[in-house]
Amino acid sequence: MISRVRALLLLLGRGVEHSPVRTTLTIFGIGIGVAAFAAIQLANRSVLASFHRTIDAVAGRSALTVTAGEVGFDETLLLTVRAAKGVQSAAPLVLNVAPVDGRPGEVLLVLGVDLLAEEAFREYLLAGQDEAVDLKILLQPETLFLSRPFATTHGLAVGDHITLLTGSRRRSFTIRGLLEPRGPARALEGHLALMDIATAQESFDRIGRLDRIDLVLEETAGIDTTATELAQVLPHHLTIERPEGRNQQVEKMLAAFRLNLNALSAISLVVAAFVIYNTLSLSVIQRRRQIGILRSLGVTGGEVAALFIGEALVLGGIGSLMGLGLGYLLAGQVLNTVSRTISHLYGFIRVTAVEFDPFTVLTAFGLGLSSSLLAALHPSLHAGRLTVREALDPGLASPHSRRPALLSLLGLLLLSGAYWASRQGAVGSTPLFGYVALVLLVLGGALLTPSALLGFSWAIRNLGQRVPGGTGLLLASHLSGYRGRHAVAVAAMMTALGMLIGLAIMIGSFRGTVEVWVQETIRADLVVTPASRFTKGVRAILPSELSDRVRAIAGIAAVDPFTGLKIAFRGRELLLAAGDFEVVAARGRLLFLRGDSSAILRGAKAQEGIIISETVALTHGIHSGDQVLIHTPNGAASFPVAGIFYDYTTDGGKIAMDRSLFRRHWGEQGINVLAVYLTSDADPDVMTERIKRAGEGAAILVMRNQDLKRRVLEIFDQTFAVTHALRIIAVIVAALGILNVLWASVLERQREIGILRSVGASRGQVFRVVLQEAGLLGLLAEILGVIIGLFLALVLIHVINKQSFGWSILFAFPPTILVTSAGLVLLTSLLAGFLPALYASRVNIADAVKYE
Amino acid sequence: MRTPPIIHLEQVTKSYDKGPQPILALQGVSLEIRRGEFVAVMGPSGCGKSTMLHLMAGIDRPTSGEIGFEGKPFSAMDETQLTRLRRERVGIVYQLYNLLPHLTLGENVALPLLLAGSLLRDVQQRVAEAIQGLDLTERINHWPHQLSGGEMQRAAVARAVITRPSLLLADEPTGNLDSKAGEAVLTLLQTLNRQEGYTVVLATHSQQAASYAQRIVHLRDGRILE
Repeated sequence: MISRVRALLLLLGRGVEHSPVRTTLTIFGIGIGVAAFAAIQLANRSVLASFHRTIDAVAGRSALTVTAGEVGFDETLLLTVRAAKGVQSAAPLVLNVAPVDGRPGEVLLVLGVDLLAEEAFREYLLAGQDEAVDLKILLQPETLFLSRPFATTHGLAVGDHITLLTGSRRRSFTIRGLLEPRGPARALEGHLALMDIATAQESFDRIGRLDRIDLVLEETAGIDTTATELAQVLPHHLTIERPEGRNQQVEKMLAAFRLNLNALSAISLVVAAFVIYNTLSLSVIQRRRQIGILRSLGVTGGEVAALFIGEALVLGGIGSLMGLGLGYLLAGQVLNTVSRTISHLYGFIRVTAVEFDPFTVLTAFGLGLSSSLLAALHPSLHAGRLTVREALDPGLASPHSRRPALLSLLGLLLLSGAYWASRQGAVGSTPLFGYVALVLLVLGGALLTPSALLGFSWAIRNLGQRVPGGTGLLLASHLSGYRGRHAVAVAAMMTALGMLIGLAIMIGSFRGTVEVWVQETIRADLVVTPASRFTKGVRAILPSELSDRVRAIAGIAAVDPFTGLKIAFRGRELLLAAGDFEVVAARGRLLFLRGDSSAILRGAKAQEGIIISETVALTHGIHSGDQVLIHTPNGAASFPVAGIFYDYTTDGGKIAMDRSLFRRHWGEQGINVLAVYLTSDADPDVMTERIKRAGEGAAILVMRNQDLKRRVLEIFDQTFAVTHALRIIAVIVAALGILNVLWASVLERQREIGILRSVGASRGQVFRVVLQEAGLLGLLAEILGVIIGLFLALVLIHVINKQSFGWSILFAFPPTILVTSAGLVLLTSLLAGFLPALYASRVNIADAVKYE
Repeated sequence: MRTPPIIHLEQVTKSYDKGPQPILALQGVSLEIRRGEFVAVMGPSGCGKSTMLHLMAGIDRPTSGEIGFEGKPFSAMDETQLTRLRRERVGIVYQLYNLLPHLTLGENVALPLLLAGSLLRDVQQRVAEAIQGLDLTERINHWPHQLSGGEMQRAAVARAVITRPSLLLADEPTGNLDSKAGEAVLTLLQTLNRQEGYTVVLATHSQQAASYAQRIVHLRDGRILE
């Protein structure tokens, strides 16, 4: 038995050894697929781990936290919390993110703490000291502690000054000590500044306000019981949760973004699985004689199948291992892009290194191996079922043994399934059926490729009959004759292209929609913001008197002061926005699902109602005319919904109301942005200067209408930057598939090529036939890819994006995609076809026609 | 009057570098074949028959010596000229499985004309004529795997002569056929020689097959036996 296994293993080894090109191509195909998957996963994990680290580092030993979104709450509530049953100690916090002046891109998390209350919660260690820090030296105004790694990177020492953009001001602080990177000093990868809570409140215009209270409970107190007790004594707009609840919120916040990336990374694995399927099918065809001899020597069908499965596992294993290494290297690049996108969309994040995560590595390896195994099953079982006679007699190897009609029927069934799945709603907020529809579309399309190839070769045959030289006929005969294996290569290329085209259409449509939306809704001539506004997570407000001063400038027709606050609404975070509805009605515009912008805005103001973005409407099932209950700092209040508008600025959605109504419920929260409308004769440049002068040295930015529009589109483009790399990877893997098929096909067809040459075909004719074959396979993949891509785009736009983010996207087919994708396909297929074509044209005729 | 040779071999040697010792397939072979002759090159397996035919067809080149077609030496011809020679002047029939599997019988027969630049619709009449007497008319649209060995080989002969070449080379054309199908193919070659005037060179190990030829050249270990 052992010697039998050994003999089979020897055969397995020889099989791999004797097909170096195919083996290398397959290993690379799997390797690149696994690498793309691993890179995305590792980058995603690193980002998430970084978020968690920051949250955990700041949370310290707290058992519960009290928060109220960006609104914060009155500091007097600290007394209520401390008096609550079960609470042993409570530490107030003011949390801010502040850009560092003069160091572009650098940001610090500024933690304002009650120096007397900290001991029970967090531990700080000053560089060069062994004992815990005496925080009292921070009681001096304008002082802070800085994390040591940050100070080292920027050449800062104790006694130096550092200037931060706090809201719309620049403030200089003296560094009183350097914190070793432990405890909270590890937050935001060591980008932390610690100051006294009074200094923080004063610096960030938060006097009398808190962002958070951390709690340590008495030993006997239950966490849930205390939380319930607190909920009864505290206002409803406050959230009481365990610190890990914040982690869950982050995961929830990033879920849709991560899911999209994961889905994208899975494509390269699917394409890689096609490559393995391809290789194994070819291996079975090429080794028919070997199978016949083995079977005649008493090897069972099961053992033959095991031999091929073994080959797949060996190739898949080596490829996956290689992919892990490559993936780890790639992850660094992906991480940069992903963390930049997350910083723009969700909150500032600093991730410097890819974290080695054994679970991710094992998952990627396992997926690489299992997709190899899955792809190997069909060809291996086919090999196992071959009878000795079938295997040994080439005459019995009918070239038309595939059943395209049956496969097409199955394909159509899957496509019907895809249609059904695309009509289903979201599961929670996950478009689960949308993803099912994508998979079914790709599989259905793949099963239709043999029939498509047959039709395609029929067309080529008819066309070829009109072209002298016989190559048309030969091409058609190859395409239809070897359609089984060609279909796999075309299906792999089609999948990669379909996803590429689908994504390109989706992104193009999305960009087009945002462009229209930007053109229609950004109407202010100038926009005034704090300089730190464009760092996500920074809560920056303009100087309080700026609005009135700007309004008084001659040449300014109207000013719309905008305030945005993140609040909790029905268990999710969204943006609560306030503006002057009369100004927007008269001069600006919002795009509403139904109705006239001015009429709705004036109506909302008159009936003290709100308008909501379509994301909020879809996520929470709210309609125009409904009453919506919102927990405000003054208690719960109900507002009528006056209209639903399109909005693409946040992924959690937006609720907007007139400023007067907002002030009544949330108080004076400061102004984040001023939208300024000029009189017709005013010069924007002159006005910009005047507004800056009115700011009296405050760190404010005055952007012109066009600049803001450009900025919005820049952020949009950066968000989708990561998809470019993934799309290219998928196409490379698919091109390897085509190279693999053509190479094997040329090797197998040596006798045919020999006969062809001996009846008068020139080297050039043989070269052209193989190269044209590569080009035609690419062309067919392109045609099918465009069709599948169109449907994938429809699912991505109308199902996945709609259910994940609630955004309406206007479908637009960019004609350039046809040209660019066709160019890319033709180039890659011709490149893939070049070597096999060259090899075929140089086949030694005498060797090729020799009969064993 | 003796007709000039259509093909001649002069002190032709062919060796292959396979393994530590070069293998001598042909050693100093000299032979002349005249227009209209039916010559059988006879000998056991491995004696160099196929090598000799490959050299005559210009699909392989001799290690030393010279081969000439109608007086023109192969050594003076480049790859393109040799390809043209095969396309227009020489027809080849192999042992078996020498039809392209994904072309129909008719398309296989038409192939040399198509490669020369003709359109399929223009040569259909010629294909029909070529297979008329071969009992293949009914099979014109069949795939090779749907044909019997004898049918395949008769189609191969039709393909070899569709361009009306000067020389027809047949390498063990009956090697994989039963005796009845084999006889049919040999009779066909004989008919082509006698009635159409084709010069035929037949490589075979069978005395019975060789008996169809006018002249038999015995080959053993790469040398012609006098």
